[in-house]
Amino acid sequence: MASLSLAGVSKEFNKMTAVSPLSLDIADGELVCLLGPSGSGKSTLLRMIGGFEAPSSGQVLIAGQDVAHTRPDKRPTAMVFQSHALWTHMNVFDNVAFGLKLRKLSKAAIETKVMEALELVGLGGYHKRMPRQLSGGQQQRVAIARCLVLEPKILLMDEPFASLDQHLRERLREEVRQIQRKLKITTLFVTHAQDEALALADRIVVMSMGAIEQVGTPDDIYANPQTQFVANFIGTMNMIPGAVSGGRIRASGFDLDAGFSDGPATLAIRPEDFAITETGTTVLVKRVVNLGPFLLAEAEHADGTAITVHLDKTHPVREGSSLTLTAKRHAIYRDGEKPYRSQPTA
Amino acid sequence: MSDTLSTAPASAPLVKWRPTGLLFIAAPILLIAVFLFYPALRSIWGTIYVRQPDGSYAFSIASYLYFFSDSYSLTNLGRTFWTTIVTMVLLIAINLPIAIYLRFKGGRLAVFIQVLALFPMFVPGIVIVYALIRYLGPNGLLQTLLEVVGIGGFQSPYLTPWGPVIGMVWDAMPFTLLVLTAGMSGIATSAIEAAQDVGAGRLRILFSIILPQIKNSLLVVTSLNFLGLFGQAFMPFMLGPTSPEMMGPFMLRTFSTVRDPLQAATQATIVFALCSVAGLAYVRSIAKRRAAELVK
Ligand SMILES: Nc1ncnc2c1ncn2[C@@H]1O[C@H](COP(=O)(O)OP(=O)(O)OP(=O)(O)O)[C@@H](O)[C@H]1O
Ligand SMILES: [Mg+2]
Repeated sequence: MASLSLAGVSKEFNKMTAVSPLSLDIADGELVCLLGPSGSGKSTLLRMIGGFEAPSSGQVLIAGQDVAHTRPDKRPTAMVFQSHALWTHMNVFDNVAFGLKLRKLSKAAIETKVMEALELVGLGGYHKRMPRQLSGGQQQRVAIARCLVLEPKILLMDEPFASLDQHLRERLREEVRQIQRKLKITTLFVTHAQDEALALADRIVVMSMGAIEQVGTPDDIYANPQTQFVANFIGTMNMIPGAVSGGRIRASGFDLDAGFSDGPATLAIRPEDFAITETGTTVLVKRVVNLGPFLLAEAEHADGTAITVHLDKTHPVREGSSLTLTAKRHAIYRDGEKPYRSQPTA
Repeated sequence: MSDTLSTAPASAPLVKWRPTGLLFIAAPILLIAVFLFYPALRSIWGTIYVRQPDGSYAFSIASYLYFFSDSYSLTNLGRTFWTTIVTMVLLIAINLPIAIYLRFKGGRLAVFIQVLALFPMFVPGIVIVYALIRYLGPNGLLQTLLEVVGIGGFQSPYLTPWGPVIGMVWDAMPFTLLVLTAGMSGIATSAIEAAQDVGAGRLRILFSIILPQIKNSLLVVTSLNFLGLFGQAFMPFMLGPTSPEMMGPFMLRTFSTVRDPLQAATQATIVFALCSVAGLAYVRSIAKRRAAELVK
């Protein structure tokens, strides 16, 4: 297994920047998710690591060696594609065995390795099936086995479960996590689904418009989003425009502490960080959704700002009633500045 | 009642079959039957139920026995096979690389190549034939040009077995390319990249991934080209030698110059039978693909 370092890696397609120069270090055996909206450059970055795109600049270091301009098969990486990557004219066994045959292994060795790999992804006994006789989830398992059988040092996965339904996705990502732990293989997993990244990753790399917005553990990213983009993108966040003056921020009736210079700024409060109080901001409840363990209230302040609040079920709330809120925790963002974060009260 | 419903096969059609549907296709089928099948069957029938010297009609396969014992007829049949197969092989050899190029490379050059390859579709055969004769014929443009640069001894393919081959390759280019490009477009880029990833080189990808994936298109284009080429009369008549000659012009001559309609019909029936074999291969490849899709 191996560590991976990106040093100033960038990619331009016909003068259009897909990935701006960025650097990133991934430790040996780590599972890192690249998370970002469509077009943020996740696939391009992954394909540069796998050798399917040549970087416009920078180095791709695997175990200290620059492989930025090395062919895919000469790198210790293996890629699981989003879909349609199985060779439909070969059965499962031949799909997995193809790379081994090219390496001129003995028949017996190939057979043992293929069967082991299929067993690992839970497809023991499926080796004679044709790809079209498999479900979408099984096909992706074959694709994973096909990569693992070559014992790569780094596993690259580009939205491997994007075309599967939610339930299957959850199961497969659990299995990927287990396999990854067992083999201790350095893994990069691209996704645009935050639940997938939060559930799977040791660390998450949030990308937007070809640049890294934040790198951190799932807890860290969720609790301390460093930019407005991350705050907005991960979980639900109420972003309320307001203004700071004299160390206080005033926004839609909230009046909270702000260790921030004067001027316009955005107040950020998570739905679960509100408290119902006697004094505070009054909002009108427009809609109540029962989310099982708690209620979600979509409310509106008199100035038109929409505010989403999580309430526990002991608190009776009806559509059309009003709530008086204050924030237990909040953050303040302004473009180009380090965000301010309140000390949690109790 | 509900039991029978729940055990109904899942593949039962959702839309009930209606006799009105049959009415829609009745007219074209009738036309095909009247103008194609009936005369064809009549003329096949006429080759085995033959008027005897005494004026009566009787079953006889004499015309077939003649064909298969006549060395001239057999030589013509052999020439037809040779021309067809050489043309088919050339068509694949020329168009497969183009189709692969078009699939994996974009840009202006790819568009230009495609337009160039489809160009023959817009030019009538007769124009092509005369252009080829003026260009490739004895003392044609090519020979003149070669002599200008000092290369003598040019043998024109005009009126040699290669004449019809060149004409028919030109003629069938667009169709061959269209079918092959359609087949190539069915290959996912990620399937190719996955093969690169596990260490397959270009040739290995061609033989282990691309060719097997377009097997069906190759079969379709080969069998349809066979059908189109084997019975060709025009190109071999205009560009080919007269002896031996392909079945197409041979049939024409037997019918109109030699005035032996029975032998001409016999030759046609033999060509038809041989073409049916290729037709069968085509139908089977389509049926196989349907079946593969149904398994899914
Ligand atoms: N081969 C290419 N040629 C030109 N532009 C490209 C190419 N590949 C990607 N791009 C552009 O680069 C940008 C980043 O694309 P990329 O596929 O990396 O995004 P992504 O984050 O993977 O998005 P998605 O979630 O939709 O897969 C996009 O604007 C895209 O249009
Ligand atoms: Mg992508």
